[in-house]
Amino acid sequence: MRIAIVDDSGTARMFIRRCLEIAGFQGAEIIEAENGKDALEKIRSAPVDLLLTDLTMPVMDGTTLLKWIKANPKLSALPVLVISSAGNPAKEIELKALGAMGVLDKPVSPAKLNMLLRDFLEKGGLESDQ
Amino acid sequence: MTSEESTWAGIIVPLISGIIEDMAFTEVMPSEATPQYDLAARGASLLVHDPVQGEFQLIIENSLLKYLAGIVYGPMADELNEQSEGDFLDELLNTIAGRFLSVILPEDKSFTLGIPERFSGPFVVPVPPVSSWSFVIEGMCFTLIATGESLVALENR
Repeated sequence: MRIAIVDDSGTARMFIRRCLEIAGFQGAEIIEAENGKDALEKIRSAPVDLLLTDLTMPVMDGTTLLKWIKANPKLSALPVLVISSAGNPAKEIELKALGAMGVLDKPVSPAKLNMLLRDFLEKGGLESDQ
Repeated sequence: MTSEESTWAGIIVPLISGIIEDMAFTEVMPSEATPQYDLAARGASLLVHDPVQGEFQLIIENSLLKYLAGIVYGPMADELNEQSEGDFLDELLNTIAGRFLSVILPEDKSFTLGIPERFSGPFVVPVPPVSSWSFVIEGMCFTLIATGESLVALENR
């Protein structure tokens, strides 16, 4: 499985990577990107199975990234999980309407991440090597 | 306004405790007194653009920043340097500010934050109106400051 982590903070990317490992996704290949534009370039050249993104980022924010992914026929099936401190109920509704599979508050915990991803896996949304 | 007087203290104290405990598995205690920070501290600021205008600042003792970043980076702590510690400070402020605004604003109100910027001492108390809250971890201090008329005015609504 290939997972993209999109966040302008190296700390946040490292923290999410560790959470994925603890949650049982240690076998996944992780691709890191610093903003939406960087992520689009990387996932176009090497597709991923899941994308985790922050919202507030320079160059291209997470909402714009989500819109680009869902508008592109080659990428639109990609599951996108938003992990951000800038979420609230209104934003969560907006993001899910745009196609996000879920929204998690920062700091994400391995347990929360695991629960959401396992739930998605059980619904056949991802193929895990676990 | 000190943390003792602040009506936001009932929100901010458990919120910050929860964030630090989730990130660094460390207990946080509120401080009644506002610490004096010398040059052995670092700061980060974050503008709130919308729906109110203001700024959050986080000032933290260098020793506490290194301590928390070391826990968060865990097995990768050897890779910590001034840049990655600063990045951790930015992320901490971003998380606190975002979570705080999501609690104090109405559920249907989205908000827009800027990008964190770092600064170093000497640390000057911002021009009022200001709300601030200080905390202690293992004898080391950090302070969160909210400033800006429309942001601080939310406290009295």
